[in-house]
Amino acid sequence: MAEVGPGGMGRIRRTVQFAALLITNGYWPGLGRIAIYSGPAKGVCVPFLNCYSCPAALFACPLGSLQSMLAAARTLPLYVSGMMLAAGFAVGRLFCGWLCPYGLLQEALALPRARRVRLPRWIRAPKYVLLALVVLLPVVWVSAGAGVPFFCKFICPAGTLEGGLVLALGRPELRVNIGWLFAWKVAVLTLFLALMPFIYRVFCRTACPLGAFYGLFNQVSLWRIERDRSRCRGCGTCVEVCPVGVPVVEKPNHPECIRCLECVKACPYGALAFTMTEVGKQGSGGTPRISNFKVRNGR
Amino acid sequence: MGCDIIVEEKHHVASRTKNKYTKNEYTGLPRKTGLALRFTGLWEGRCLRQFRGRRLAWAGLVAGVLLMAAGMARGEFIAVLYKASRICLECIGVG
Repeated sequence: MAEVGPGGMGRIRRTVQFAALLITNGYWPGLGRIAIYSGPAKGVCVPFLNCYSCPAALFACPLGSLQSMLAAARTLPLYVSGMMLAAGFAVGRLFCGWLCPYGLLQEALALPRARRVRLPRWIRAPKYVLLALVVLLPVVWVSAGAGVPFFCKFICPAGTLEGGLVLALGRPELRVNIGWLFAWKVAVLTLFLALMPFIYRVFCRTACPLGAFYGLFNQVSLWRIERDRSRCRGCGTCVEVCPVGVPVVEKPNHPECIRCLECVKACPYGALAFTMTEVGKQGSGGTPRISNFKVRNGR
Repeated sequence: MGCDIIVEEKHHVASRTKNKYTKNEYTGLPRKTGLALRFTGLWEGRCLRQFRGRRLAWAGLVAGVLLMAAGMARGEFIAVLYKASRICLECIGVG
């Protein structure tokens, strides 16, 4: 298991992540029979990646649903997009950090040093490109009379792991259909699995369109991280504990922030809070310069 | 005179010890003891006062919920259910 941050948020978050995994993938008979659940709960979209073709999945994946409905109807699906908007405006990327089962897998495989790896800025761009393609391609790329669910079909490693591999291994009649597409998807999954121990949440940071979408709302969401300027001394503890390399002091609600809240817990001055209220408006001073403060304090 | 200083010093030490667990030792500000205390916005009765700072978020949240309701009224819940209840071979890369 990955190293828990100094704030100790890891244990609470891990418990919540496991609970979410068990609740959203709680159809255990499906794993035994390799048959997917088809009850009414399957119509409910969860706000994070969870392949609905996984035999244990009880709920639907928003990205898969969005793409399949765009592909079928060529109009904006209000139900799925409304759910994603509401989730984004409520808490931003909190779902990535606290509920996503694929995020849990990435954290479980990450070595302690993976948290210290800082990625170049350009590596964040592909997920925004994929987000645009997720919306556009199912509408414009028509094959055999229907749009193509591009991301699920060609990229999604979560779908390959939870749905593709399980079904292909468990159901011999599906194996006859395996071809270059499955090989490509397994290669994508293998690539991400190989990188996970060395780069913390590599898929979330580089290729997850859902994370990219929620990240756009981090700055404006109802619950967001507030920095109390009167308390912040710019010690940089928050930046040091952040596993995804967010410049917390300058931009606490950065689009890359997965809201693991390690920074909130670690702040020695209680200057950070995850709240729906404005704080520190009356405080003096702007953004402290971390480097200057460290020099002044001989650190 | 000297006695006063000693008394004052003792009082200061006692005060510091007393405040060790209630105040931040660096800032002297009230110390927060757990994450639960950080999620205080809802319970401090400040929601309405703070509403103005979160207008966009509230508007977006309400719009999202209304869109969801409109989508469900259009039968999209059934469409998602229909799609998610069947194995999508193309989606998992088998087809």
